[in-house]
Amino acid sequence: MRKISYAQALNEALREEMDRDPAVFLMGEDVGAFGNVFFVAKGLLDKYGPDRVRDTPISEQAIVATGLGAALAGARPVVEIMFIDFATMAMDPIVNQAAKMRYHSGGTLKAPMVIRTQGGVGRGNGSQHSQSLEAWFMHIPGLKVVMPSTPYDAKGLLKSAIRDDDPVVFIEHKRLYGTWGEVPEEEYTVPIGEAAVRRQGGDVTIIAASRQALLAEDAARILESEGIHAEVIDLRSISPLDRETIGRSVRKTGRTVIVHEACKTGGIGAELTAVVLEEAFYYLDAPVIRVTGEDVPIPFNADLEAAAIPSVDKIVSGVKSILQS
Amino acid sequence: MTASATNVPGNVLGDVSKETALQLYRGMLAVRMFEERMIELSTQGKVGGNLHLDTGQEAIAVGVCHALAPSDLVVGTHRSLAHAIAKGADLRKLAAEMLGKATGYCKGRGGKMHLTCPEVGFVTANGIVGAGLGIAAGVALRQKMTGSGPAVVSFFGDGAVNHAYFHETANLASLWNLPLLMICENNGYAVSVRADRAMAGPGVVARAAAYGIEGESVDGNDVMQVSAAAKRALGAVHAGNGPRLIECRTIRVHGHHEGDQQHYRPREEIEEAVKRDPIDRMRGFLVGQGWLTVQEETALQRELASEIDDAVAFAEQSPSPAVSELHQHVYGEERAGGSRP
Repeated sequence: MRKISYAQALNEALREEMDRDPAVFLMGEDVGAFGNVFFVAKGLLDKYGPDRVRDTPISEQAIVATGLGAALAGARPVVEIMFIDFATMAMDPIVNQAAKMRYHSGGTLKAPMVIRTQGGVGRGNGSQHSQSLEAWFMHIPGLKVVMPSTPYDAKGLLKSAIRDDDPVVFIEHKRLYGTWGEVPEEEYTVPIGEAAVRRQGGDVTIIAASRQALLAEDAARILESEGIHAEVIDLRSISPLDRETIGRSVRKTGRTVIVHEACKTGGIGAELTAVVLEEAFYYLDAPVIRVTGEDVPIPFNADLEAAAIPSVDKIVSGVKSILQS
Repeated sequence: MTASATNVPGNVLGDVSKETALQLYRGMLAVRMFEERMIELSTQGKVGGNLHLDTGQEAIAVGVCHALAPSDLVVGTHRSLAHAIAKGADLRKLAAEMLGKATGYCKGRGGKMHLTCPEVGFVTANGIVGAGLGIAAGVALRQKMTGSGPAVVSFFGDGAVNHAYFHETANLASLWNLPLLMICENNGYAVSVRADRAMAGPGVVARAAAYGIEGESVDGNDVMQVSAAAKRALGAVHAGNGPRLIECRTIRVHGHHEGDQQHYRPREEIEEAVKRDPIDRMRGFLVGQGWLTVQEETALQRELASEIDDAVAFAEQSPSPAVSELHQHVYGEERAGGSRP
């Protein structure tokens, strides 16, 4: 099968959905001629014109609110928040507005919109361009939150997100845009809410999403060579959360290591731990372990930056420590 | 503030037919009487949450909505019962929503601050100051992209003009030439803070002008002036000339919400507001023209009271939403069970 990059996969998803449905349009900072800072929107302005590929001022609140209004009126906007850190300026339209429209209208209104953004640590961007804020959105009923790790999932999940009738926060990872993977040329989608079991194993379950799911796979390969069989779950979306797959795996392995790049306190690992307890408490052979980012703003210095987030080594150590307990 | 206003109706007298004038009067009276009934029901504990009412500002909602084509859309505020009623909302469904009933516009999930009345083009109210502006601009963007014609009206208070929403939306709407009519209901107060202590510079119209949006300021207690200004502005908006703004100067009569004792305001200011009551003024005008007799006034009040009685009775007899349906409408496809996905 042909291989394309994560960024190209997203670009194809946008292209195919814009071809399929005239109600789909893009809006955000530098999505036009620039084609998005990671080239996800490359070539779309030329193909679809400035009406459907709309460069906006640096006005995050208006970008999301305007997208929401358009969605309420029948459009399917894909709005972009360039870095997830900037979503802090759009929390009202995301959290108070988009997430609530269907519910507080008693089901009369719907907000079929995608809020594309990217998070994660990488490349010395420092504390205001490197956060992993997914737990904020997972916390809000009414939002769906998707975090693809591979080009295949990135394309299939973005297509599903665009077709979804609810607001979807679609979080890409800044260090994945240049990664390559197999993506079929024919039409497909990946359902939102279904985790992928990337590796089967009976000794321990590693749960992760986005780039950390890839590191978890790397860790599992190393562990395999030492005779430790880790099952790796890539969540793909954290809301809806695939509790069944998590429960099934942990009931089998009895041990859980949760990995995420966001800092530990109040991160998705806390929720995932609770889910593991709810689904598989009596099957656990050891306490759940979290391998997460440190509780610090992301530093600029490369060594400090690397130390602030999980690595393959840290995941391997985490797994070994739980096997000893 | 609005000291220049007088008790003489505006300069659009010549344009107003008896029929129009009576419609405007009836509209304002309907809002006033419905809201007064809501105060009663609130006192009885039947309406939950804070009541933010439009008392003394009815001329704005009614004047603007009267100028709209039926297909034009409205986005409201936290103080939006008047906007919904003026746009033609069904009083039964409205009363039912106020009482949180299953038959209400939002099946009891929204209440007054999150109202939607889609069949009359009232898109949504909003509990967040200024947020409606952003949403209205988006609705207008969709109208423009599909060339479907209707204009979108966004009501907002003077408090919203100090919010990022106002500035970001005005900028975008002007840049993109959106069919948006921005109606600032300047009642002089944002909760307890008087506008002159919150808003720097030469005012609302000048702020719009800074974004290239034409605007005008009118006496918001004169329903005929408001309606005439809205017609003018809508003409431009419908013609594709981009957004327009109207500042409607008024004075808040009641507190920010019912029960707010307004200890932060001089009494005279409230007395002045009462003197300028838009309904009294319109009644005075109608009587002066010989268009409304005492008997007709009584009949009209009786008719509205009976309509409101019917709406409230419907609401009171309606069932509450089933608690078993608590999780309905969070997402499009319903999920079984009570837990989060």
